[in-house]
Amino acid sequence: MIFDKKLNKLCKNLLVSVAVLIGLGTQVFAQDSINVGVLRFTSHSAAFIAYEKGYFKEAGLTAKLVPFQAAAPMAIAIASGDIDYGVTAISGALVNLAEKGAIRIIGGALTEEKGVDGQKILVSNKAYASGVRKASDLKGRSFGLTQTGSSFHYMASQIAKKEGFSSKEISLKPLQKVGVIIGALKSGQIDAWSIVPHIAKALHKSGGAKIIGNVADYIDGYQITTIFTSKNNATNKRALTKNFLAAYSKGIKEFNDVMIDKKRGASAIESTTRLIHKYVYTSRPYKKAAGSIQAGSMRLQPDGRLNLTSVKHQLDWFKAEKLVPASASIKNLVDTSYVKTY
Amino acid sequence: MGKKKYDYKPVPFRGSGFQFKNNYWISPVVFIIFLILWHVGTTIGFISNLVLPKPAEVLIAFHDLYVTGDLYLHVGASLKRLILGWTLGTFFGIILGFSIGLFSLVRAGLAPIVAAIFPVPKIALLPLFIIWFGIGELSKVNIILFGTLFPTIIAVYGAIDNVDRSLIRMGQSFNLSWFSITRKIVFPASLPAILSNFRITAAIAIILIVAAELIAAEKGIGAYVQMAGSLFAIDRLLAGIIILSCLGLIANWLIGFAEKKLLKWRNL
Amino acid sequence: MELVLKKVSKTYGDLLVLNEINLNINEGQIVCIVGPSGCGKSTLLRLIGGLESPDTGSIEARGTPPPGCLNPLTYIFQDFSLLPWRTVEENISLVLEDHSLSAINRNEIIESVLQRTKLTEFSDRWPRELSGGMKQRVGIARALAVNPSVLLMDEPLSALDSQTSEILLNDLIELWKKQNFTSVYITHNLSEAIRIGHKVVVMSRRPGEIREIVNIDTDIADRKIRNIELEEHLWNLLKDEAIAAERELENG
Repeated sequence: MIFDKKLNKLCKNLLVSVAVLIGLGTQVFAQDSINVGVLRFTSHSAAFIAYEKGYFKEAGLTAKLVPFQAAAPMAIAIASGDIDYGVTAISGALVNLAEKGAIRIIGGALTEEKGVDGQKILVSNKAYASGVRKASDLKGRSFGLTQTGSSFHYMASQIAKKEGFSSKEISLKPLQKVGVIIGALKSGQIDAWSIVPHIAKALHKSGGAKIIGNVADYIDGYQITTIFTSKNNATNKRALTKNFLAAYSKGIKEFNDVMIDKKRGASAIESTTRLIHKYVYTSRPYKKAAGSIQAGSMRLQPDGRLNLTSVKHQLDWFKAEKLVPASASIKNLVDTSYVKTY
Repeated sequence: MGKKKYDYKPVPFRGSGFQFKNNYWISPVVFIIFLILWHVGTTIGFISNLVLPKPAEVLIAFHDLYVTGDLYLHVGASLKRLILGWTLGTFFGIILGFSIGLFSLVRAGLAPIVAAIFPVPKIALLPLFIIWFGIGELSKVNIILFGTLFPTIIAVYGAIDNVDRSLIRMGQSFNLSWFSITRKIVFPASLPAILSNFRITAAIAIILIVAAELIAAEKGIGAYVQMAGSLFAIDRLLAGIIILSCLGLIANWLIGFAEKKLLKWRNL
Repeated sequence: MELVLKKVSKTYGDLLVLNEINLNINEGQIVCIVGPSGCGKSTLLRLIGGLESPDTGSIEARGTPPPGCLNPLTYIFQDFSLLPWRTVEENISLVLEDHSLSAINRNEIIESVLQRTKLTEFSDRWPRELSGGMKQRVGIARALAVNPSVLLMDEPLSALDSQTSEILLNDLIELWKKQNFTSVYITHNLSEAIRIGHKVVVMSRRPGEIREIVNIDTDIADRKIRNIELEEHLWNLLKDEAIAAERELENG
């Protein structure tokens, strides 16, 4: 399939080149076209804003947003060349694909900061009733994940580590989908989970589960999601990649200003929320969705800065858990030449 | 025009082809050529490392599984679910199949329900199974149980429908009891079809173990394959798939053995 | 034991298969029933043995079965009806297992019938290993094992080649000479009927009725292989209907 698509693309490119040659002179200014992979989450708002407000066009890019159901297929689509740029959590799949020379991280997006409302640790009512009141009580309990090697897995082990017990002493339950995890947590089939604040708060408020801590207390400056692209784009199409990052950063800045720092007033919040609602919680009416969108807004890294320390820490954890080869290196994973790192 | 000359020719043989000869050496040779092509292709980069790992990498993944002892944990966990689910599914399938095959009242009541549920992909029922049976072993075993139950029911009562009526007549003409006819005529007559159905349900069980272990399985070959897939660790993915197919081969061999023992009246 | 049929009729749906059959089957006699296909002779045999019930009329058994009789009315089938998953011995054992016999008793019976049908050395063979003739011997042995009063034979030799059926026919005749069993013997082979029957019942078709009953007085032991004159007589009775039957379409 990958071959076919590549071949298809090659043919298309050839045809386009021929067409351009024939029509030489008629076309003076050509925009570069890119595909941007997105998930329908508030944390992907920078892409929605950059697209809707025309920031990609300003940067000379004809962008197309391609929605995905999960992070892993998006990473594979970038590896296969179907998608040019994407934003997703650092996962085992991402590292393995980077090791194979398919993709590179070029910037940061969602991040945890102390003092800013971040991801929460939740426990089921049943577990709470049986005495799980703080993270140190999670020893010997079950913890919900989407998949082995996902960010949830990383959070669970970091919590365990800081509380002084091995991650082997938590029973990890890969349940594939966030919806399934929520169901399992509500019915008490799993004891604990960690998740973004607006979902956590909603569960806490509705009495479905109890918040017992903050992830930020266990992981310093957690770089949750990163901006990434194919190795080819990162090394051979530097101008294109810079233009993309510039447009994306503009989206980030607007998102942070309006939704996090609330610098531009209530009407700007409302119009931006409406813009985001075109992509997120589309099945709910605006009135219902607006609260979730606003509550779910977490700071994105200004200018796509990257917390390289956090990325390194995550990479080391993946290696220690034998989820990626021990030879995996940060050089293969991150191209540090695009954004500021720290 | 001289004397007519006759051509004497042997009658050409036209009966070749369309029959299978035993070429035992072909399949290993094909397999070795396949391995060589795979190795060369991945080594010189003709086959991208995104598409296929090197054969050696798959071997290393196996080795890792073996030395860490994970192989036994994964295979053990899956085997437990497979054997329990398949055995129970087959057991209830045979009982229900016999009931439908022998009692018209049961047939009228159950056969339509069985026919309605049979084609439902059991994977689609996964969320329901979690609600009914939780995320523990019960839902995993039950997926395999349900997956093997329905094909077994249908195969068994189909087999009973196909039992030679004249043999049953014969039994009746000698005043054999209903129980004797069922046990000594109907059951052995349907046994070949039931056993060949075992091959199909064993394959179904192995297909379903991967789906069953989607949910909250820390150990198991299905969980291992899932994990490898979500990590995009294709060397481990292939190692897991090879283990699954070995399980299938072993099951097939065991059923072949059972057929040889139980149906020795059939083969020469 | 003797059997008496009075005005026996049978219909399948709209089709009258048998119409008012009256027939006596006397103790120690072999009654052969011949007729074109579709005349209902097999149906008649199933009625006599109680595998089907008549719509009207009655079928009565008079007299008591001999001592040690386990199954008074016993069939021998055209297709042998052996269980392929049981050996020769086990196939015979099948019909004894439902009766309360000691194992020794059972083995004695099996040994005895195997001997009478010349099967002793094949006792542990699978049916698939046997020739057609041997299979029918097993069928006969199985029938003899229950020591029947009446043997109901449904074209027992018609699945066999002509030499084999000749051999088996002779064996049956030998058997009758020793045991004088009562029997209803269905066949489409006229010379067979003339060889073994005390009575030959000729049936006509649509509806199945008795056309003529021919008594043959010559002792079975003294009969020649062919009796052309009698065969011709029977054939003349049957010929037209046999031709009609042959030209008929399935389910016509």
